[in-house]
Amino acid sequence: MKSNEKIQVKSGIYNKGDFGLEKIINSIKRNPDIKKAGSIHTFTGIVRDTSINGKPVISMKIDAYEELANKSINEICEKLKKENGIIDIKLVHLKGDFDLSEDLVYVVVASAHRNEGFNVISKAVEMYKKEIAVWKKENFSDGTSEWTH
Amino acid sequence: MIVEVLYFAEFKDITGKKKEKFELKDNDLLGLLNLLFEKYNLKNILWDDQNQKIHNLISIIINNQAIHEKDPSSIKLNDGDTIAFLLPVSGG
Repeated sequence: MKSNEKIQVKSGIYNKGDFGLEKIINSIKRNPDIKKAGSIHTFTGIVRDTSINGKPVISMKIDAYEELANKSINEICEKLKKENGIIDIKLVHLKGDFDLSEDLVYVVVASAHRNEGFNVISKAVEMYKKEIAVWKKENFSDGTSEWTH
Repeated sequence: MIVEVLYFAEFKDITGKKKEKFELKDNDLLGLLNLLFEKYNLKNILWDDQNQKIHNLISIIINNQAIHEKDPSSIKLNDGDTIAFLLPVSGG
């Protein structure tokens, strides 16, 4: 086993570039109960080239109140781990400056059966969008920028 | 009494800082707001002029705990407190 595969990933806020999706999947595969899982589901949020109002976006900044956001992320994970068939869940939100198509957020769910995983990963995304202390600023092609709320 | 204010998102852009310490004469949030409004153009974001209180969409966090009261004269502060004003979140 390579040394970087031994690192356990905790859910929370990290700086861009700290690690990627593969490391989170490897971490979840080291859960002692992983043999009960029949599927691993992943969601990756990336930077889109248009705002919700259709304005061209060229880059994005993510800011976070880490203490509060980490607390909310752990509450979301603990709540969803109690759902039927869920073996493990990791939620990682990155912060910093991002170009188009770069990864912003990862949700990884291991579940006994696929439908349980599809359901919980969808719930996790809806929850983090509303509950964690993270803000995004879109930088537009016309030179303006805007924090979205 | 010295308290520290944490700035995020718009507040970080407007102040140009991540955090800042203020010395307060009064032990309530109104005293801190008056200092903030004197120094920075934050009143239009934070203050509900019609109802004379902090705007409902602003979350007030003191020492990592949410405060539901919006009347700043009713919110007491202690030496060493950390305060943040948060706009609605927008995860990626």
